[in-house]
This record gives sequence, C-alpha cells and structure tokens, in this order.
Amino acid sequence: MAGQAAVEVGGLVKDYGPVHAVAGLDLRIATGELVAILGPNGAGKTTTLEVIEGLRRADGGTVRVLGDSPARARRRVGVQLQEGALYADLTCAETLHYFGRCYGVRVDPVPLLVMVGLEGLGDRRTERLSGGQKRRLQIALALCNNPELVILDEPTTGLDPLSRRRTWDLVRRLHQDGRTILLTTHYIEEAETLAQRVVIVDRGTVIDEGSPAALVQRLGTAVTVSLTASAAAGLDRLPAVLDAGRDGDRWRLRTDDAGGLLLALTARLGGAGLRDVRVQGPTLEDVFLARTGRRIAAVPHPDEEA
Amino acid sequence: MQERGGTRLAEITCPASGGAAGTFLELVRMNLLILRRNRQILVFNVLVPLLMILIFGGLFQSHPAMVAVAGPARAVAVLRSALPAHSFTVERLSRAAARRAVADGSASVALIVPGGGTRPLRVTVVENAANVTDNGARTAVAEAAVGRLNQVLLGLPPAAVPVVATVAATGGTRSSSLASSDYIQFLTPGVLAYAVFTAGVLGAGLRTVTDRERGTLRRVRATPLPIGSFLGAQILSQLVLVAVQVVVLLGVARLVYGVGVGPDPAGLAGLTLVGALCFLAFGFLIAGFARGEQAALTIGNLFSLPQLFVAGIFFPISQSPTWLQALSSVMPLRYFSDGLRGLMAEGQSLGAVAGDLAVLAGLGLVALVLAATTFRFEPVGASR
Repeated sequence: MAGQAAVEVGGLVKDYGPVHAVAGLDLRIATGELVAILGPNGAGKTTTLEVIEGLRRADGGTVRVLGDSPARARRRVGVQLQEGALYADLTCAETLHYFGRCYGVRVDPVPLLVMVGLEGLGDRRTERLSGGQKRRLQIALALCNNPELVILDEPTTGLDPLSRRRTWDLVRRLHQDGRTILLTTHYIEEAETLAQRVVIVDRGTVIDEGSPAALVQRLGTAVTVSLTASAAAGLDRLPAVLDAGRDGDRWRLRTDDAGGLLLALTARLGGAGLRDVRVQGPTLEDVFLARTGRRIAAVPHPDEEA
Repeated sequence: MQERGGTRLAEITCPASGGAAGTFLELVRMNLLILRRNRQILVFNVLVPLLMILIFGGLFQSHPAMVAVAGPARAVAVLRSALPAHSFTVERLSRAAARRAVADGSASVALIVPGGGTRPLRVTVVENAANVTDNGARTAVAEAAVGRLNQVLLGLPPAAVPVVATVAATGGTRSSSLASSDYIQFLTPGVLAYAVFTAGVLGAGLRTVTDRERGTLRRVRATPLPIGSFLGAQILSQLVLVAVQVVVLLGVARLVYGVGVGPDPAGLAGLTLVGALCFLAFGFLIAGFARGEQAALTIGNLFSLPQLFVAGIFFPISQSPTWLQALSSVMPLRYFSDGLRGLMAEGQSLGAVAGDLAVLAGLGLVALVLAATTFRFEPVGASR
C-alpha cells in the first residue's frame, strides 16, 4: 500500500493554558518511512506524539493514524513513552507479559529482551534497572504487540554510546521489516544517521523537513577543513579558502572545494607538516542555527546523564 | 543483540487465548503479584491490625472469664471442650452458688442446665445486670455453648437454637471489668473494620496516585485495553487482599482468643464486601483530588486517623460524651465497625444491621460518582 499515510496530522494545535505547545503543525508520514522529529526541548515534539498516540486530545486540527482515529489505532501502534511507566515490583519479563496482555497478546519475553539488549535481565525487578536499561525496556514495550507503526519518544536519551548504537541498529532492523518508525530526538547525530527524513520542529511548528542530505545541501556546499600545522603561515591566502580562523597551530579553513584545498595544503606543507586533518560538512545543527539563530543543544535536557 | 531479532518480532508475540476474560484474570493475577511483593502493603494492611488484636487483646486479658454451670457432669464436660480454655474456665457449682458468683462478679455468666426431659434443653442464662455493655457478647457465648450442648447431648442440629431465659442477677455489688473474652469480642470486629477501611482509603488510593504520577496509567492508556478492565482488575485484586485480611484477622482472633464470627457468616461476608467497595471508592476519590503521592498520603491520613479514634474501634462510643458521639455519627467507619460488631459480637443477623449497610452503600455510591468525575490518567505534575 505504497503512498498511504501511516500518520496524517494537519494544522495541529495544542495549548497548555496560555502556552501554545503545538501551533499549527503539519506532518505526513508514509507507510514504511523512518522519520525523526528533531528539535530542542519544549519544541512540542512530545506533545505531538502524545496526540498521535491518543493520550491527549488536540485543541485544533486533524489527526489520522493508520487510516483511523488515534484511539482506534492503538492496537496496531507500539509506543515508547519518555518517562516512568513501569511497575517497580514487577520483573522485566513480567512487565512485558503485563503490557502484552493489555494488547491481548502473549509475549515471549526472552527473545524480546535480547532484541533490546537486556539479555539475562528477565528476572530483574524494574526498580533495580539503570536509567538506560529502563529506557530499553520501554522500547521493548513498544514492540510487544508486533506493531505496524512504532513511535519512540527520545529512545536514546540517557543511553551510553554503545547502547545508543545498538538501539539505532534495532530501529533500522524494525524499519527493514517494513514497519513505519516515528521518533523524536534532540541529538543531531541520531537524526542524521538514522532517519530517512528529518522534520525539524521549533516552537510548535515545522520549520524545515527533508532527507538529512537535502536539508544540509540547502545551506550551500561549503565545508570546513581543520588541521594542525606547526610553523605555517599564510594558509588563509590559499586559493580555495573562503574564510579562515586560527588558534595557535590549529587552523579552520572554510572552502567550496575541499579536494583542491587539500591538494594545495599538501603541496605547500608536505605530508609531514599536516596533522589532525578533519573535513566537516554542515550539520543539521547548522540548519537549525540558520533557521532560528539558536542551537538545539543549547537547551539542557532534564534526562541527560552526562 | 541478535541478528535475526527484528524479523522474529512476529513470532515473539501471538494472540493470547482466553479473550477478554482471560486478559482480565491475568491482570488480576499480576496485580496480586505486585501486592504480594510490596512489603508495606502486607505490613500496614495485615500485620498492623493483627498486632492491634494481639496486643490490645492481650493487654486487657487479666484472667479467663469464668462460666459457672449448674447441672449434670456431662453438660459441664461438653462445655469445657466447647469453650476455648484460654478464654473461659468452666466451674460446676450449685444453682444458688452459680447465681451468687454472677452477682459478685467472680463469674461472667452462669448456665443452669436442667437434668433432662426437654428437647431442646431449656437452659437458663444468668447475667449480671450491672454489666449492660458486655451482656450482648455474653449472650452470644452462652447461646453458642447451649447450641453445642443440644448438639452433643441430644443430637439436635446446632441450628436449632434453644429457648434461652435471661435472668438478671440482683444484688450485684461490683461491676467486673471487661473480661478478656468480652473485650476481644468487641475489639476484633472494630479492628477488622479499620483494616479493610485503610486498605481501601490509603492502599488502593495511594497506588493509583503512584501509577498516575509515574506514568504507568498513561502507558496502559496507550494500549487498547478498555479502562473498565484495568480498573476492574485493580478492584478485584483489592478485594482478594480484603479476603486475606478477613481470614488472617478472624483466624488468629479465633485461634488465640476464641472469637467467633457470629450467627450470620454470609451476612458478615456481604457487609465486609460492601464496606470494602465503599472505602475503595473513597480511595479513588482521594486519588482524584491529590496532586501527588505525598498529598494523597496526607489527605488519606487526615481522613482516616480521626476515624480510628472516634469511630469506636477501641472503646464503645456509647460511653463517650454526646459531642463525641455526634462527631462519630458522621464518620463512615463508624457504620462499618458498628455493623460488623453487631454481626460478630452481638449475635445479630444482616437484617438487624441493614441501616449500617445502607449508609455504607449510599456513601460508597456518592464517592464512586465523585471519583469517576475526578479520575485522571495524566500526571498532575506533568510539564508538557
């Protein structure tokens, strides 16, 4: 059923008192897509998901999920909430069993726990899990009804780098199975490496969307070459350099032609004179910065462990 | 992480058998598991009331109550085996001596058993008119004893209650203090009422607030489970906890102090069920108003602690000043405790405590309607 929308949100409005949490947000997700909603804290990401999940009623706009109302679609949707949601006195396996029953299904907890990287923890009480383990159990809960649409609210917040990568692998495999994935994140790297399409949200509206590559390309083709070169001078006057910055031996050169610049650098300094060369294109952070004048990471996240 | 993990998801989950009823019973089972694992629930709902019965019962246990019997030796032997030895001593006396013993307070009650002839036995129960508050309990004990006499001596079914003539002894010089058997008869239904009351008001209510504030309620709401099934499973598992309270408290009271359940066990079960549901509704109502666990605990305690002391759990409210009696009459727990006491200690049937039952049912319905309108899924402290 190519082209049929898994999620269709039009003109969504949600107010909390005088605050517009979501102010006219449009979102269309095709069946089988992997979409990340990227934005700083308080941008309205979670509220948007909660309306799609049927946990909150919109103050305005239309919402269709899998061709149905959010409430009626629940059976076919897997949900990972950002907070809590676990019975402290149940074990991991029992928690999966409990919520599986809420969907009217019987879950085999062992392979499901293996999938999310909680192998061997089936008999552990949820109150004795670490923050990252709890989050992974939440992700397992989102899968216990074999859903067509998986909604993950900041699935890797609070995870260590290894667990984060394993979670990305899991999300990719769920996507390869043909499931539609909608996730929120405030991690630039997560949106860039994981999502087919990124929807950038700020202050309750979509400010830009597209594939990570397309979003970045709209900013232009300039890249930054950073390098350490001792006793070098005049690198900023090399032909391809648009502008340059210097901090002792460390140079940052912006260019349209990275290949040409690297050749010129090698010719000038020789291979031995160049150290720590890094070429970096613009990131989604630059896209957000260009659009809003602010940085995504500037808003601290309450769940952040670091 | 397993490589085939993603593709196996369809095999990991399969439709559960048993349909909606199977789901419901499974949720009840899981709730009971949670209740059993939470030590606080066990301590506050079962252990504390049990200690109340054991300690207060023991505190007022000066000596076993004496039952004076005038009649054939066989009747005395039957009564000795029928009445628990730690609560009663059975003494064989002449008719005149038995009456004197009741009058001077050395015997709690006297039973005058005729030598033979009548079926059923016409046993005369002699009580001390000075001990009005305890005579209900005494009569219950005496009736049970006489029933046993008829059963063993004449082979009549215990249900065939004999005609009992109650004669007030005159010339009583001192009013004996509440003997252990009498006070424990008074105390046990009161403590049972309080235990069921707090389990509903504080236990279930607090757990609802915890589930809500932690986000468990909203996670359940994100599933297709009808909310009625979820709450129904919570209520049914709570009633199982109440059944455990009843069995443990009444079982221990019977084993240690020989406290009986009275003549109408089915009525006792019915009144307990109505009381439990009523106070469960109050618990949900408090959960609806409270902004967090701490607030719920405070409101619950403000609601329940005055009732513990004024609703006549530990002492008869009829002996208190009028203003205290007036105060206690607006306390829901008073009606539950009075009703249970009527059934257990005063030998009444459910019909006789129908007024208490009606008050509890009415209050429960009001609380239920209010609880339904204030029920919330979302954490009150939610920022988004």
